[in-house]
Amino acid sequence: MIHPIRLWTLTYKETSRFLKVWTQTVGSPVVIAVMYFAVFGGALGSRITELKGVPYSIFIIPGLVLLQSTTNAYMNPSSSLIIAKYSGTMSDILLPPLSALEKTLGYLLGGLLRGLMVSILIFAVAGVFTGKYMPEHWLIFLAMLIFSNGAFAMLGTLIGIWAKNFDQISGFSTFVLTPMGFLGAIFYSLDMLPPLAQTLSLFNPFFYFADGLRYGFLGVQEVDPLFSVGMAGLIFVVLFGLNWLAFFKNWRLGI
Amino acid sequence: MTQNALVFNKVEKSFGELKALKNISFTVEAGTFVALLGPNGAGKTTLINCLNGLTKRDGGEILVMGEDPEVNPLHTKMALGIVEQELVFDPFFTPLEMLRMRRGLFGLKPDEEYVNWLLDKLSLTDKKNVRARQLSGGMKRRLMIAKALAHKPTILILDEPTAGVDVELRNSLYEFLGELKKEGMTIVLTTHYIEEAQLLADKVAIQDAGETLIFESTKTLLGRKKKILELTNEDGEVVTLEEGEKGGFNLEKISADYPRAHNLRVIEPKLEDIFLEFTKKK
Ligand SMILES: Nc1ncnc2c1ncn2[C@@H]1O[C@H](COP(=O)(O)OP(=O)(O)O)[C@@H](O)[C@H]1O
Ligand SMILES: [Mg+2]
Repeated sequence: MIHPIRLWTLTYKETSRFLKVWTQTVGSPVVIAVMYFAVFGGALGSRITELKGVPYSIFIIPGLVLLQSTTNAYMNPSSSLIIAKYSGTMSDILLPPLSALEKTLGYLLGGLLRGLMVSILIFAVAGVFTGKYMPEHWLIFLAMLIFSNGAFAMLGTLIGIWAKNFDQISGFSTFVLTPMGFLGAIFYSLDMLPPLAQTLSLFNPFFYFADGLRYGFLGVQEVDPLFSVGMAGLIFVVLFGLNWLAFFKNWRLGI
Repeated sequence: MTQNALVFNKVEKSFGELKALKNISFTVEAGTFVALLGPNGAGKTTLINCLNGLTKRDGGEILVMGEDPEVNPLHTKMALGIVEQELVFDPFFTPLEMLRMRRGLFGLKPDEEYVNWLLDKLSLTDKKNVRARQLSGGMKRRLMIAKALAHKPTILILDEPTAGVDVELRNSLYEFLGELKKEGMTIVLTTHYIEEAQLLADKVAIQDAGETLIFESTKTLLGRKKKILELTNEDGEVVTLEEGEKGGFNLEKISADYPRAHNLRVIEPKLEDIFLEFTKKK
């Protein structure tokens, strides 16, 4: 069940936190993006000139965007939930008559909007360095941005519900998500890897997020883009179901 | 017709081995003020958590305005305004924002007039635009009360709202609760300040170790203890006399027995004595 005022308010609550400190939320990804283009685009780009017929500095844009934006999408709900647990304000969410669907959507939208905001910014920064602003295939481009940032937001919600302290939240990010991102073929193409690593990459969900988005933005791909969109959509739907179930059962949130 | 705002019937709840609630049974009629008295660990907060869906009871029946909170939480949550025991606040928002959001999370349209009235009633108007971390303890407590009332509930539940609160604030809170009651609000207040119960409550429930020991009107409860007449007799000794079976003192007999009595003083019964008697008996 969705009540528009309730969902709107929860989404407002989950977005206003990062909007209130927007210089931090937005500043850090932008600085990191600039660094990447300075180092990779400048220094490395003179050695690796092209991948799949695309200049290297442009080839890395989608992966770079995803790496930063999904981290933000993940951090938004997970930190919001853990702060609520620490400060005892979980009841702000538990006392009102919010349905499981409203809670799922509210936290999802909070993380997703933050991820999209960071995405747009990094695409813009990248455009300044490379001159490449516009995606090749808008529909797949947008679908991939939404599925990947949405999936990470919902992962953040699950981890936030599960976690007992902030270390678990940042631990999951550092030891699972970041390696997954870097190994998701965002700085290289699969054929540069040994065969075993190529096969392993296909089990990394981030690979499909990155490859699909790269197709949407640049028109080049490793696997069929529709397969990437399908995988990303499937992950999105499964996580959505898990989020709904966790809220419906009041898993680890009640007393 | 008097409606039952809250019904507790043989409510049970365990945390592992610990039976936090064993047998809670009492009924709060709509529009009444009930004080829930009990020592620390009696299970008062646990009982409140069973009401609002924070925790699931193991057995027994609970009805909020005729509905079971575990079956129809959306209905019961609208009826309940709960002021939690712990002093909690979200450091990111101002009191005004919090009250607006609280209404929104209950699915209600903005009502600036009401929100400002609440802020005013709870003396928070000056502070309505500062971050909550800049509020004093007493202000945070008042903010929690305002939040609990933001969606205009019919039942207000306050879990030890006056613990560690200064006298002035306590008195103004009592006054405010009195006003709410006059407007028809059902109020349940848990406390271990017994004067509070004596001053405010129509009925008193005494709870200890997860059981309702007694539930009756404050007047009846106070009647269980006799008034005492204290006087000084002609030899300068202090004599105490207990009230008769039917209440009151036989003044003729007293003046015959103690012709030169002076310093007469009636000592009213105290809920505290009754409370101690009951919780000790167990
Ligand atoms: N989440 C919990 N897990 C385990 N024990 C708990 C929990 N909450 C309360 N208790 C125990 O239940 C008993 C009743 O606690 P509580 O309801 O807070 O009492 P009161 O509010 O009357 O002081 C206490 O012994 C307390 O330690
Ligand atoms: Mg308590």
